[in-house]
Amino acid sequence: MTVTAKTVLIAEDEKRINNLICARLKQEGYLVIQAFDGEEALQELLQGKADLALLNMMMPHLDGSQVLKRLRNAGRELPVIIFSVKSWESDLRDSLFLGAKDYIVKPFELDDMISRVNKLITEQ
Amino acid sequence: MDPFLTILIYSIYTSSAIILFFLVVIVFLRWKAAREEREYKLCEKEWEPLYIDYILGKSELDYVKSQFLKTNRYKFYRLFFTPYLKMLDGKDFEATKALCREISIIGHYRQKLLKRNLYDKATAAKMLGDFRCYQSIPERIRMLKSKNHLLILAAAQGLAVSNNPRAFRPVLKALLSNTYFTYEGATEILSRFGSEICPPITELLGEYSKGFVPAALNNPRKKNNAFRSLLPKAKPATVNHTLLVIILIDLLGHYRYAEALPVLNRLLAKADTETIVHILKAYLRIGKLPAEYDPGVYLKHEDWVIRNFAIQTTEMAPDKDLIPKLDQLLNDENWWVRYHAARALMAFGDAGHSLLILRADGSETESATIAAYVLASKEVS
Repeated sequence: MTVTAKTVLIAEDEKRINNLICARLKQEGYLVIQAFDGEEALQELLQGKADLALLNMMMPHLDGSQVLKRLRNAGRELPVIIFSVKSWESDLRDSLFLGAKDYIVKPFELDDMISRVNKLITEQ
Repeated sequence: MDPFLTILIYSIYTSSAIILFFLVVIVFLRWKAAREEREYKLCEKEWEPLYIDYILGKSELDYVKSQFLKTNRYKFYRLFFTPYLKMLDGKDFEATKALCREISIIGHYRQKLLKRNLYDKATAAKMLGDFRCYQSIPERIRMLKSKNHLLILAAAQGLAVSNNPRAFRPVLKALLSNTYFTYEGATEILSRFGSEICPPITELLGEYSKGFVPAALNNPRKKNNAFRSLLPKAKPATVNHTLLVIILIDLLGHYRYAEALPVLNRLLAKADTETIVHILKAYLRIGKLPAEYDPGVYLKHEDWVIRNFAIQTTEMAPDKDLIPKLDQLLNDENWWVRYHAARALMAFGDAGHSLLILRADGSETESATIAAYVLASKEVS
């Protein structure tokens, strides 16, 4: 029996960070969809190909919280992890009320991010 | 030839030559920038997969170091590594820092920090902050005492992102001492330290709340306590203790540090108008109220801003005994006070809602208008 690889969407406007996270997720065996702004992330998520989303809070066009709100309004319940800078940690906690399953404060460790992704995918 | 015409012709030639000169300079600089950008893109294309393989453990440090050094493009290292230094933590950050150390970037900026050139020093201070380089902290703290605004700013920013709480007090003192920094600018830099600064801030405010007497500032017989030592000695009149206290309170509110509530409540009892405003704002941001807090006192305050924030705190812990006081405030002289009083009553359940409906139909113009307005906006939402 083959296990289908899960797909993770990364929405991060800093291209090289996006590429680094993508490489780490692929190393872990995930399929990855990359988005570089909020609008692109939302379009991809509404197509329903992702099993989990990693959304940066501050992004061009639509920020992470707006993407999350529109996603939930569209009835998509996939798990979302929001990440943003340290000085906005208190607002990240608020994102849990918006429907995010977890949040990651930047700067972050890649292994920590992977363990949170693995946990949510397993729970799903 | 007419002399006037001669002068005119020479003026035209000279102006044309100057304009042409500047055009050539602009074109040359743009060409140079475009060429540098192309060079950088080539380096980035080569370095990025190397770096990713290194971070993912697929390549060894020595190999990656040799590949970076082979390209001989030192000037682009800063541009390349800065995003990773800002985004990564733990072993990924340490690995990046190790690579930067091996290719001599850290050493390069530590040397630059000792140079006289202000731009070099400022760049080095910021980069060493990004590297979280603790060895150069004493030098950067010394830079905070510079007379140059650029150096102070670079040193303060670099120290703030170093995540080293022991640099907090020197940075705070430098920002207060330098009159170029606005309140917003200072708090923006200080907020980069992270929530680790909340315990020392709470300790400082705790000390202040135990009876710091401003008049004692200039008394040579009084021993310096930690709070007093933050105030600049040269300009006590321009930077008073109130400014320091409200910056610290705002930082606690920004980080929603609930452990500071008892200290904030102690401060509230003896605070001046400005400080009361900031403490109430901090309560709203933290989202909790101290057990001993009584909004009733502040609902009657002569300052409308305090009345306004005090009303908002009542929504966090609706107490039916406050309804008559909020009812009175529906006729307050200030629109914002009336508006928030009406909104707060909506948080009091049926008792508050019924009262608003009653007031909306009442004969008193101010309360009727505001009650109707808030009820209508609630229906729309």
